Amino acid sequence: MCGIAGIYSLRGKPIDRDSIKNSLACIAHRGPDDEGLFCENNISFGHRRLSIIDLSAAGHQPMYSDDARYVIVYNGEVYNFREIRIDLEKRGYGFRSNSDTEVILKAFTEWKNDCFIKFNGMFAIAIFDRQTRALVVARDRFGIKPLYFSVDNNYFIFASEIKAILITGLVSKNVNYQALSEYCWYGNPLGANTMFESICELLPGHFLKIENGQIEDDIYYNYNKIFVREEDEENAVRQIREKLDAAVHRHLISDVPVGIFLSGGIDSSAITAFASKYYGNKLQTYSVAFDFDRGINELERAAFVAKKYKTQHNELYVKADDLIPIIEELVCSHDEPFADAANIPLFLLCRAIKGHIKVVLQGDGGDEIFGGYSRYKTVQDRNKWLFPAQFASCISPSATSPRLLRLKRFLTAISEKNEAIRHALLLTMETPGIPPEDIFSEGIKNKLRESSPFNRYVDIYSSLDGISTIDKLFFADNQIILPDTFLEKVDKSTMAHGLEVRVPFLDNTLTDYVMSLPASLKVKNGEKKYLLKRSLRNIVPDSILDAPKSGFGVPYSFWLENKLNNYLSERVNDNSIAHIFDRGYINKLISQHKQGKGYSGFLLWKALQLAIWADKYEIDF
Amino acid sequence: MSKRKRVLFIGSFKNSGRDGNVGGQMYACRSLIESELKDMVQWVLVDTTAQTNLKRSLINRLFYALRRIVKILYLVLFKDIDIVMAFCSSGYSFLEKGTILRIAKRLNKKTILFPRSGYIIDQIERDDRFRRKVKIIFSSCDYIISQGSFWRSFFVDKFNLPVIKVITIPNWINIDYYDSSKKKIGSPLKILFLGWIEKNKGVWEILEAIKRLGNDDFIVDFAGNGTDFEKLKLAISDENLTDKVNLHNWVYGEQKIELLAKADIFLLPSYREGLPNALLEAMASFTAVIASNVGAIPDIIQSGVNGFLIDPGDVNSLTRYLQIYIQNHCLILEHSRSALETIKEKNSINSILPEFMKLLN
Repeated sequence: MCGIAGIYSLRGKPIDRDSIKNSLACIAHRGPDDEGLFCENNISFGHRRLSIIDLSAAGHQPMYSDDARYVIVYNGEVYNFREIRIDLEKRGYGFRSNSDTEVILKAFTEWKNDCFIKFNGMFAIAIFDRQTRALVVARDRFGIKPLYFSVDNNYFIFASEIKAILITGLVSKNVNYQALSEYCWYGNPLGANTMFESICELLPGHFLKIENGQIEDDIYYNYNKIFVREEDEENAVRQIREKLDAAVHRHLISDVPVGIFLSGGIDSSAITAFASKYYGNKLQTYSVAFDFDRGINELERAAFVAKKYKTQHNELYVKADDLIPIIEELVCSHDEPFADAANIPLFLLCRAIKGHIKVVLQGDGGDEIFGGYSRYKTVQDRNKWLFPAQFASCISPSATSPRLLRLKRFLTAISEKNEAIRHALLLTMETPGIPPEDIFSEGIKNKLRESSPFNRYVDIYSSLDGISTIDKLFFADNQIILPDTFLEKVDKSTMAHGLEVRVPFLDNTLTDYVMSLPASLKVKNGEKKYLLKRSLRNIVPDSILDAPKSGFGVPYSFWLENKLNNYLSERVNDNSIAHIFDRGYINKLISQHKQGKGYSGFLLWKALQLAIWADKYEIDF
Repeated sequence: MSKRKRVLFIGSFKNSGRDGNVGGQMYACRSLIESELKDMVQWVLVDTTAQTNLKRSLINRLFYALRRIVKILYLVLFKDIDIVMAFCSSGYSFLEKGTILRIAKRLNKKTILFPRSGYIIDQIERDDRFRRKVKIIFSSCDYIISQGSFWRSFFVDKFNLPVIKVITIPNWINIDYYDSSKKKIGSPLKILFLGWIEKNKGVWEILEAIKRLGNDDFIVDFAGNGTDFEKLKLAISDENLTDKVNLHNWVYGEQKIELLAKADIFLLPSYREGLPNALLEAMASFTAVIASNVGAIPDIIQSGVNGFLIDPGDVNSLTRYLQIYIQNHCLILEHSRSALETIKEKNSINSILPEFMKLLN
């Protein structure tokens, strides 16, 4: 895995070589093995390399096409590059290296922007045409790899991480109020929004073309265009088994050893089962227990799976004794406040195995494409909840019982008439009766009134017609929580330690097929991951497939009650950010939380991340 | 049960020199004799702690050296010694300990030499006589310990030594001694230089970088002494930098730990180094480092990952990296954490013991 960054002056101004070197210095953790620069008049971009495929100097980037017309920098892995290479060879292309970068470059030379849809993998790419002076940047269809950009009248700047854009000094640090609105409801901004007004994230499946000072945003892959069709269950079972097997096989391609994060759940066990077929007994698997997991971990299950597939299994016990610097560094890793606390255990696990292995496979995406959440059943059973939902208003917003408040939130969400907003409300822990925006000062609240946290949901649902409500939820999850929360968490927590994580459940061939299946087949009779489990019978042990999902929740709420309570208080009351919060209100919440009252753990966690971010990045509100 | 080997260890064992200096050499030696190696070997110690960090007369040096040589000869001849191991610096220290090991080798003892100073490279390059003596000493030793891959290659290539004879063991420190529970990185940003105030330590490059950075929000502490101390003091005053730069003398013990703990960035733009303790101490104190890519430093600093590396004398890069840190406090946090992890993994007493066990067995 790697990091890329670039600056393109839209007015023809020469770009200083040091500017791009500074950007690359900020993302060196993504690629500690090598650095390369391309500087030519008004454009300059570069690459930090983590060598995975073709470890030789032939894989150095920026890479030039044979005629030196095109120059590429690329972060990611394209797993089907060998197939594409064969196709290109038939068309007369010769190759001088074994790297996937060269294949991508020649695929672009041959097919131009139509090449992106052929790539099965994760990527963020920038290709510059020295003849036409056109720059194209593209991102993979699920948004596994990040790509941020900033554009104004003078510059187009792009990078794998926001910090590499900020260091140029060419962008402002104004907060993006739409993103802030989304952050206080979900814990992260959605879609193209970042918390910086002047910086966007390129949407998954999109590419930008910058030519003659004009910027075009185009889509090469759109999930909403997938046609959901009926399928025979037996055929689906067989197809999924074959496609998942092939996907895992593809994801093992590497010139360095590959390992697996084996949690002991269905997804990682399935990956282990298939991978062990191809990797023999050299496959390294990693399981972890934390000092804060209160003994709720799946170490035993993982060890059982590892033994069955004869992997070289590693059990780690990780302590989070230095929690404050970890929390602060994670804000820095994301460059934004990011409230999914699951980034902490992942960060700690990567820290523990750093230096032992460079590439690991992980089960992300399994829950989203196969239906691993209870809300898929909840939306199916909505009618049952409509009667009790009428009494939601009877629960006072000022109630202090966490259980009552949780019930109020759920009933309010389920009774919401607008489908898009309903599904959004089911995902968040906030509720309109107790708006999270109340933690802010009057000035900020006023600005937030112009934004809506539901825009992204409403936008996606507006293009989903003719499918069931549960199918819509599948499509929305794949375009919202998967890229914006889970994949964001995976990329930043792992790349902070120079570790490449691969997600075989998001393989193109597998997802194209599974996304076209009706939700009623994937979550049959409300059973989570019904179809996946059936497909894995006799491959993954029954004791794993039929076990209840255990896993632990990161106890951030407990930490905020106890060892982080003073820290939280100091942070939100820090003079450098005095104007952000309504101190009276937030201090009341902190005090209530310390006494075990209320339901504001997640809101306070979000406030803490926001306070750290605003202070460290000196944000203008 | 096999008999424990008797190891005559020539090094630095006193708690402090006369001027209160507790050096890295002392920690390295003391931590070894206090480690679990004591279950494997019987230590016979000869202390060679310098009386002071300041320069001494040749007569003074010769007097102490001769006294030590006599003592060591007696021990080697009459005290059933199996191995003689010496930690040394450059110059006279190297020649004295090298001579002792040559004698020990003649008396059929296993000999191990650990040169720990980066200056030895200059002396070898500019002084033919010194180089010839080094070659003789190296040839007569059984093992030479190098502090990193650079030194290993240098010794092997320069003196045509068998690869097997040069063992790499990086320098080590007592991590628990330093305060890594970092305070808030803040304003003003605190930048520290700790070491000899001399040209070849890069102090003038630091001053130039400070001038170029102008009014950015930082302060710099220089702590140490040396030939350029007074000149630097004058330059700070002449350039009106007294608000930005504090010049201290050598700092020891708690005072040093405190200065390291407060520092956000540590600078070491030297022209020559082995693997200096000050660098390891800074990394153990949760501090981001900008150092020159000399000696064994690139073995532990990966530029952009746990600090930044520059070429010696490259003021532009030094200024640029300082600017990056000043603008991006998050990067300081990331590099500091990564540096601390590096030290824990590679430069703690526990990480180097297995190599010594093999060597002394």
